[in-house]
Amino acid sequence: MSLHGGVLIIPQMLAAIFNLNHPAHLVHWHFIRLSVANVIVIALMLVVFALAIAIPFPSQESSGGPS
Amino acid sequence: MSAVSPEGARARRSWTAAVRERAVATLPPEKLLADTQPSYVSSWIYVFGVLSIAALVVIILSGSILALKGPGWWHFTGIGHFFNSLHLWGVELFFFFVVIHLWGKYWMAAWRGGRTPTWVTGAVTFLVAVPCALTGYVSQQNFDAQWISTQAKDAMNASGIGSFFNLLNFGQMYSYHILLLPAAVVALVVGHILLVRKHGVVPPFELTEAKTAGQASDGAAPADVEQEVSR
Repeated sequence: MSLHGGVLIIPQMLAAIFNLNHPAHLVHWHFIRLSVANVIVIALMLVVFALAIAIPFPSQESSGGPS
Repeated sequence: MSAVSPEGARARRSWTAAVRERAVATLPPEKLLADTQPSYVSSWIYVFGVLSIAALVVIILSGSILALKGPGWWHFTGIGHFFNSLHLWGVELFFFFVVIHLWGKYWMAAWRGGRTPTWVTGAVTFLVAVPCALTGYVSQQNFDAQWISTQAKDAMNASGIGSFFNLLNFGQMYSYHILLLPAAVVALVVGHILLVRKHGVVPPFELTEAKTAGQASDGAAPADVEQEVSR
């Protein structure tokens, strides 16, 4: 398949890094069975949730705008 | 007995005037399209609601283009692959943002202060969005869709709804995916936003405790933190 102006280059590069041509890896603990991909997404959500609470929101005072 | 002008009597008889007056009384324009927010909204945790809406807009726009062009386009052309991926990743981000939004509002007890309908419409939106995504996965027209539908039909049959929600029926699933369920999600989101505008954003716990020391917390914001900040 032609590259059509390079549109397919990025997916090919990512495919070289992340080999997805296999059944999903699973995390199995008692009755809980999750794919590694889903575990990564859940962990990312927890991290973003914690950062959203911890990181101060830029206020107008700090940006020098009118109050 | 006071005199009533013909225009006034006609306006009172008109159901459109009655609806307008009730709508404006319930949600005045300055609340519907507010240009300021309470100071406590200046936190990143309050951003995930609007991020969810932004993702929903991307999903609807990319999905509309996919519906116009069809499976041959989204499977076998470069630009079709791009819009197919845009639609998929829009959904991934939608659920990512909605879940964080739900977590944040759960731990804030965002149903305080008469905001129960706001919380319920948000939670139901999440529940309706799940089958909306499932019907999308089984509408792809590829082996992935075939695998998912043949696996998921057993769960549907076991729950008893398989007789009228058949995952192996592409036409039915496609109708659910591009019309019925998106319409339900959009209607719920619009209702949710109007309720947020009507009742305002729930204040943090410490503010309500400061206001109602010695009393039961009702979730209403104290007057001094209603000082508004432009967004």
